[in-house]
Amino acid sequence: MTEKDIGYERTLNAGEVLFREGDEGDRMYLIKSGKIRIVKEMDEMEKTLAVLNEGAFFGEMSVLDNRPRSASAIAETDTELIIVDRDALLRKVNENPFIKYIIGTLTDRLRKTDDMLKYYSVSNEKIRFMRYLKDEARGKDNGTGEDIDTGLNPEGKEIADMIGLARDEIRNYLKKLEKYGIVEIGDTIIVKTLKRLKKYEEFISLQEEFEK
Amino acid sequence: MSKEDIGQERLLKSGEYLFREKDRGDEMYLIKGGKIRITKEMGGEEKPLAVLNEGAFFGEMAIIDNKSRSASAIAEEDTELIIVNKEAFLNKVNENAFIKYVIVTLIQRLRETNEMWMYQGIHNAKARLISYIRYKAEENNKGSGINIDSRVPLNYNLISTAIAMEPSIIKDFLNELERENILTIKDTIIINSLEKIKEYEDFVVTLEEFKKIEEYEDIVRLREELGQ
Repeated sequence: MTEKDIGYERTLNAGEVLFREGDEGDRMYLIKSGKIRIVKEMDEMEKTLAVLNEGAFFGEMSVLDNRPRSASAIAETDTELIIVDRDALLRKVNENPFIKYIIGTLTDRLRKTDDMLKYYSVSNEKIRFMRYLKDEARGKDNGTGEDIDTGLNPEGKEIADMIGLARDEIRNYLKKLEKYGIVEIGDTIIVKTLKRLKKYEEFISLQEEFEK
Repeated sequence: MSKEDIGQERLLKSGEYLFREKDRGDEMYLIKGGKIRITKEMGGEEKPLAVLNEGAFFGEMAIIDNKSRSASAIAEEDTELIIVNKEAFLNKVNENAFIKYVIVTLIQRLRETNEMWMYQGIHNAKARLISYIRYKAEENNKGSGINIDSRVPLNYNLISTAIAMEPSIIKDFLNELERENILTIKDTIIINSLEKIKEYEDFVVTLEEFKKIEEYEDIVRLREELGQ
């Protein structure tokens, strides 16, 4: 990368949030000095994924795959950042189709393990399942209030692989949700009402909290 | 990549292991036909990380960072693989310093998050710490005899991030484990016997399971007594 590609600088005070998990973002950063803490919400708590030092870059995932930030970035100390130009990065990556494929695959895998990490940290399996289903439904929601086709197979194999539950367990939970009128089971799992699914997840989370 | 860069082929029968977690490895593969299941150990059990289909590549991590395999690869059905030429692959990656830096960093992060995932799935805090120590000890001990002293760096911040546990709790558990003669704490953690620590890990997990069953039975009994 040439001087020209390395764009603006940005200064953060200790404790300042650069971006939050779920934000849209198309900037990648290089740490000129200071420290950045990368945190992710897991089981409703913020957990540290990494603390990055001078010379490290971050924020490349959203630039590469156009998806929201997978984690939050917070200045651990007063920090100086260099903003790496998005187009310059993409040009370099796209120059060679093989490299593009490798980087694309690595980014996908990182996203997937990030997601798996988030769900595995929830120890109550029922809550883990409800949270996963809710996130999937949210991702497919077009905001019209119509039924949401999650595209998930009710046989439960792909869900089992993703969140580490037994298939029987998943099918039992689904039966229950169907009884409550929250989902409809056809070739795929259809969420009839996202609002009630959220309520139900809150209910079992509260139940778990108080039974402890 | 040109024709010559794509090396030999390899056939696997359904259920056959291509490589195991912690093996040394310097081959990278492309799936020509079939499916490969990638699994990683979690608290003594193999858990699936991914199932890869035709056209997917894997095994690139060990090539780039020269570390051991981060997961196992098993044929999910009869599978045809193409072994990608290592030199050709590395040449492509090394062509541009910036791209190389991006790829190396992504792989390093993937290793770290894969490991965090592996520990997050163990919900008993003590078992999680033991699993971490055993895993690291095995990694450092690979290739030598099983009962030679193994060492794991004693870095509270590092361990705390990897297994999501407060340093003070880690300290308490470590002291407990030292009292139980599972390990010795100097400026590193010294594990006298990998076999023993594995047994102790199983014991902690089993204890937790039975405690749960007993608690449940207590509740059932109590309810019956109260006539509910």
